[in-house]
Amino acid sequence: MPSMNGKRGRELWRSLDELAQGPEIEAMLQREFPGLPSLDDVRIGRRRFLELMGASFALSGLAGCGPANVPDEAVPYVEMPPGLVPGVPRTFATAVTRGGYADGVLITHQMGRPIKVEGNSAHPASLGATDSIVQASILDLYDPDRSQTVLSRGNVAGTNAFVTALMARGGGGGLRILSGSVTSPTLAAQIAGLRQRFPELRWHRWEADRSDPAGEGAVLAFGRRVDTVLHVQRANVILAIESDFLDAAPGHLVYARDFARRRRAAEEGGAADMNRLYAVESVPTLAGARADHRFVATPYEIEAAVRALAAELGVGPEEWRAARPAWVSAVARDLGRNRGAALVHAGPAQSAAVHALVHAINGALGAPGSTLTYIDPVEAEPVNQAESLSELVRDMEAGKVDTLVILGSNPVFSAPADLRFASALGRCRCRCIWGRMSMKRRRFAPGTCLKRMSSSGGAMRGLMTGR
Amino acid sequence: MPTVFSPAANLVTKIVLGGALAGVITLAGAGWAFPRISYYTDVGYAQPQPVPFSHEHHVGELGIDCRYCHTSAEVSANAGFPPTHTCMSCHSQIWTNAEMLAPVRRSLMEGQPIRWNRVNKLPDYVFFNHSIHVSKGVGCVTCHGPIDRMPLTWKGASLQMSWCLDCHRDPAPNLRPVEEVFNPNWERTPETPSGEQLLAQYDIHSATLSDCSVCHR
Repeated sequence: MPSMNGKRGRELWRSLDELAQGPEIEAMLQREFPGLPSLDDVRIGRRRFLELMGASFALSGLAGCGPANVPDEAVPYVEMPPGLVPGVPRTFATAVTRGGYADGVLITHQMGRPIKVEGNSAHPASLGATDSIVQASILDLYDPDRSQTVLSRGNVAGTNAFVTALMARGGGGGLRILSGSVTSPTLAAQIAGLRQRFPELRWHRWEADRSDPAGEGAVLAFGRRVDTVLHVQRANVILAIESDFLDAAPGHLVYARDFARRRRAAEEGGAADMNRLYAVESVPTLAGARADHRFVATPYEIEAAVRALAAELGVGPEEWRAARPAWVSAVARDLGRNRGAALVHAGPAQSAAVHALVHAINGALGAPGSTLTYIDPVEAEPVNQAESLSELVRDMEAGKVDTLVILGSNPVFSAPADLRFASALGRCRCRCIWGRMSMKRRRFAPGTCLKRMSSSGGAMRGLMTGR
Repeated sequence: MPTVFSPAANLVTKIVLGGALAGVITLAGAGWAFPRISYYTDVGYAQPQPVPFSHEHHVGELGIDCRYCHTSAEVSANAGFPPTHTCMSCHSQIWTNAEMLAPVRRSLMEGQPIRWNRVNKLPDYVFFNHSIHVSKGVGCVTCHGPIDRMPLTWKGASLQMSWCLDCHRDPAPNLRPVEEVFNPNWERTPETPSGEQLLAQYDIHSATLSDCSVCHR
C-alpha cells in the first residue's frame, strides 16, 4: 500500500473506508446511496452527540417524577343514547366511497368510538368483503384534522352563517362548485336545484382516483359514455390489460369473489369449470399476480399488442398484426375459442384508444350480454375531469371566479402540480370547503371566507335548497 | 506486637452484624407486608368525588336496586355508571336546590359529564367481565364490600391477583342463589343450597377457572 508508506500513528487511516477514499469510491457511494450525507456535512460532532444522548437518558428519568396514585376517571354520559349498553360493542351500516363509488361496510364501535370496519354482507358491492383502503379508512375517523364544526376564517361559525354568507354573495357566473365524481342521485339533484336558482353556476369535477380515458374510449366506441359491469363468474377466459378489476375498479370486491369462485372449481371437483386469466401490464397489479400467464410490456407495447389482438379477432386492419408479440396469437385463439364466455378488461391508466379497442374486441367475442353489461354512467353528468379542472384554474387566474365551493375533495393536494391550483385559488374572493377534513393544515392559503363544514349534511341541504 | 483491634471492636462487630441482619429481616418483612396493607391496596379508602354520593343513603336506607343506576351489570363487561339523566330523574323532584347536587344540575345544564374518580380499577391486561360473575351467583357485596353501609364509596377488596385467584380456585363459599345477587343483606340460611350444589347448578368448572387465559387473553 503506497499510501501508507512513511506514515505513523494518526496519519494512518482509521478505517478501510477512509483508506479507500477516492473520487471513484465517492461517486459510487453517491450513486448507490443518493440520500446519504457526506461526513464533512455533519454539523454535530461525536462529543456533542454523546452529550445530547446522555442528557436524554438523564431526562427520561423524569418520567418517574409524576404524581403517584392519580385516580382514574369514570366519565358517564349526560344522556345515554337509547339502546346503548356500556361495554357492549354496537354496529352501524354505512358506506365508504372511493372515486365516488361506494362499498357497503359495517362499523363496530364502543360507546361511539369506532374500533373496526368490515364489509357488509347484505350490501351487493361488498358481500361482506373489504379491501385494504376500506380497512384503513377507520383512521379517518380519528384524524385530528377531522372537522368538528363549521369554521369561518378559523373561528367557529354556525351553519346558517355559512348559507347566509353564500347567499349574500349571490350567484352569477362567478359561482363555481368543484366536487369529486358524484354518484349520489340526491347530491346531483341538489346541485340541479341550485342551478335553477343560479342558472350561471358552473360545476367542475376533479377526483384524484378517476379514469378520463375510460369515458373517452366509450365515446369513441359507442358515441356516448357507458359504464361496464363485469360478470366475472361467467367468463372462462379473461384478459386483463393492466386491469384493476381485482383491486380497485368499482365492484372489484364482488369481481374478486366471483373470480375466486371459478378458481376454486378444481378443488370442488369441477376442474373443467376453472377460468383462465391472462394479464399484460407495465406495472404490477393484483390481476397480474393472480394470472396464469403474465406478460410484461411497456405502455406503448401494450397498445400495440391490443391493436394486434383486435386484428387477430377481425376487428382491426391486417397491418396491425405486423409487429405483434408472440403471445398475442395464442391469447387470441384462446379468447376466440370461448366466444360468449370471454372477457377483456382494460385498467384506468390505459389510453382512450385501448379502451375503445377493448370495447370492439369484447363485441367481437360476444361478451356484451354474457360476460359484461353496458349501463348508463353511474356518475352524474360525467365530464373529462382533467379538462374540467384546468378550465376552472384558467377562469380563477383570469379573475372570473368570485365564489368557489369545494365539495368533499382536496384539489390543492391532488391537482397536478403544473396547474398551480393553490396560487390560482388565492384569486377567488370567497372559498368554501365542504368536507370531512379541515384544510387549514394542508397548505390552503387563508382566504376571505375559508369555511370548514361538518359532514352532517344539514348545511349542504340548506345550501342546495337555498334555505 | 500491638493489637490492631481494641476489645471494644468485639462489641462493634456484633452490633454491626446484628444490625445488618435486623435490617435484612426488616426489609424482607416490609417487602412482604407492604403490598398487604390498605395504604398500598386502597382497601377501605374513599376517593374524593365531585358529588359526595352516599350508597348508604340510596341503597341502605331507600333500598334502590343496584341495577337502577348500574344498568349493564348483568349484560356487559362493565357495570356502567349512571348518566346524569338518571340522577336527575329523582333530583329534578327532590332536593332540587341542594348545594351538594349543584355539579349534577350543572352537568345536565351544560351537557358536560360528571367526572367521577374510579374506586375500583383493573389493569388493562385483565379481561374482567362483570356479567359472568353476576350471572354465576357472585353477590355485589362479595367484591364491593358492604356497599349499603358506605356513606362515601370505599374500595371493598384489594383486586390483587392473589385475591382473584383465592376465589377462582375455590369459588363455592362465595356463591349465592342468583336471585340474591343484588341483595346486600343476604345471609346463608339452612335452606340455602350449599356452595357445591350451586357450583353444579351454575355449571362452574373450578378446575379450569384458574387457567391463565381465563383472565389474561
